[in-house]
Amino acid sequence: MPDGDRVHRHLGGFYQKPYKMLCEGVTRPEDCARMLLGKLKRDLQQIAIRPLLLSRKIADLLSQKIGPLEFSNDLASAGISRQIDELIRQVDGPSREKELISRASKTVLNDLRHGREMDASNVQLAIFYQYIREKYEADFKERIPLSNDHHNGVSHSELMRRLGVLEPYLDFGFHKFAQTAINDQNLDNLRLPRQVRREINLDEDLLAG
Amino acid sequence: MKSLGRQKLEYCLHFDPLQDNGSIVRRIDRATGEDDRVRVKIYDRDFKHRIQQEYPTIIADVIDLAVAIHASDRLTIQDPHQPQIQLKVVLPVRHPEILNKTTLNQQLCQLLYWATGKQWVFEFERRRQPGRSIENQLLLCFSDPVDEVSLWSGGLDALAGLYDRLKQSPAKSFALFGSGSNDKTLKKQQDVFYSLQDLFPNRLDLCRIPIRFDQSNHLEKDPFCRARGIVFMLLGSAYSYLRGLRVLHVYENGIGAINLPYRKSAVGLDHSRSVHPETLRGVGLLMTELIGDNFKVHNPFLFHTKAEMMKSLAEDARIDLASQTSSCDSPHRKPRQPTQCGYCSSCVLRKQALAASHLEDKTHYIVPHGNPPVEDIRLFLKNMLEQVATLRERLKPSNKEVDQWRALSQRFPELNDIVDRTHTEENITLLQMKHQLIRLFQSYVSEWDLVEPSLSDQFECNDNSSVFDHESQLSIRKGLLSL
Repeated sequence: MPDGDRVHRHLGGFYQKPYKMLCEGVTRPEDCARMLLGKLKRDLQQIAIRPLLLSRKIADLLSQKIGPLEFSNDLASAGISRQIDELIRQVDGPSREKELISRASKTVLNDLRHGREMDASNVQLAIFYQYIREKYEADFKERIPLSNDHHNGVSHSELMRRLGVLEPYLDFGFHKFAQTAINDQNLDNLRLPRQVRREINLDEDLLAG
Repeated sequence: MKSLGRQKLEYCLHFDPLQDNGSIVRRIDRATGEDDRVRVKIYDRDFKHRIQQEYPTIIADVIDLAVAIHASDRLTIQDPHQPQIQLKVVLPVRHPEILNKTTLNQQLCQLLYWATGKQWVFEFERRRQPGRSIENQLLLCFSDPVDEVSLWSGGLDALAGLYDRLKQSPAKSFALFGSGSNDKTLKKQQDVFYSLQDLFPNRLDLCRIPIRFDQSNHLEKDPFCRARGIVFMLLGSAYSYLRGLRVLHVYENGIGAINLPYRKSAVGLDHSRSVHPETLRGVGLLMTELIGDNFKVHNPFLFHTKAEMMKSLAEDARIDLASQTSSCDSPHRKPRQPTQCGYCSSCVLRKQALAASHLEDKTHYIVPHGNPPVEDIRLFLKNMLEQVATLRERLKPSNKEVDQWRALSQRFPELNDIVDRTHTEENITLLQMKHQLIRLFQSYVSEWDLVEPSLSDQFECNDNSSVFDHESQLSIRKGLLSL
């Protein structure tokens, strides 16, 4: 029953700066994406070590099953899903992060059930990438208030359109974070994607409006 | 008031044997050594309605367990951003040899973890004291047999479900089970029951078992109490057993039972799992282990929207029962104001269902009949509409169910678990269950398409004229009553 559902009213203070930047719309998309990724990186470094360790355990579990028709067998997939729940339950940590890694793992499992081909060596990457995406969506994208009175008078649809423009830059960043974290098996060395420097055109009239 | 907002995570909840005058609970904070005591009481006189001459002692244990879960959950607050609270519950019982069984203990802890997000550990000690007076009464006059026992919350789903069952099976009799700690809720349960009893004489029976804390104002309590559904179902199951049945019925619409997140910002227990199909299954399995016989908790309306549940009520629209029920998550208690807010998710779903089933909504809500609060009254409505938009987008691109399920489960992977884990309980195949769920979400979206404009209007036109309307209606009512 929708019994005391918790609905988040505001975007956390942590993400206010990229939100305002996005609303103001004067920053280049890649710079806006970098700002967002920078915030996400800090958050991941503080909180995501358990989800990273869990992603490895869950990947080990899934990798053993990757083979002919394993995931198209509903019974087998149901069993794997239960094992994922049990692995997550046994680990201590904030329940929100545990739920996000669960959501990520179940998404990957669902993809495998629907025929997504994946090399066993890439399963952890797929799970941890999905976790980062889930975290971004839960803490920022889908936490932006459903209002038409955003900062700087921007409408919600315009804000979502601008976020859509950032998507390729963000996706690249999520992949880079996930890849680094998997390679190192820690989050100490996450790096933002390189800043794309615009070439200076000496003929450009910088004052032209 | 002592706050639990600090980073202390381990508690021991030590219960004295639950007697007629209650039980003293010691809540010990393992980190600080703080030792608080409160009393919790259960008013179980109504459990005298049974078919067994002697009170089954295992059922007395089920009741004690339900009280212990309720008290432990209320007295510990889980912040989703902090590590999980570890709860050790020590409870004297009559059958420690059953309750301490590894499989049963694991089932219990897993079920509570799923529903509350807290890590539970139970230690059941042998109870040395005699049982409560209800246990010692040898019954000479048995209660009449009933065909169905169902939970009775005083809410609209409980009413609509029961009304439908009463109409569909004219020969059946029903025993309703209500619980809670709030006098207003308990009175609501009673009032709606009396109205129904007039319409369906000799077919209904009501049992209510309140649980209350005593002298506990010094302790902050968990306002969400996510274990509430399990507590209610355990007590209802105990009652069902006492009435000679092995099934407990829960009437809840499928949308509310599954309770998918509105947006991705809602994570895990932001949305309650009180009557989720997996919770029902878990309580059924637990009861089966406890009593050593198959037991089931069944929701016959899992594949119905709330509006669909109300079909029978809508057919007899002359009888206004719906407005007697309460759905609100946060009832207001201001003088000369309606109690139901009209803008929480439960109120919005109630309004949606009444509108979609073409029933006149005679309920008085703060929105649109009273003075609205300063906060954004459209918050829940907007979130619910966002979910409807997501469902519509996932269901629309294809007419093939395979594609629709793929799209749905990609966005809501938890749906796979529901199907995998509960289709056997529903006595249907995986494919049939997927079909039923797709149909459920399609109906829900279609209903919103019909009612959304008029419902949204209520959130726009909150001016003084509607306040006047409500006040004048109240005075008319008073006038009529005084005649």
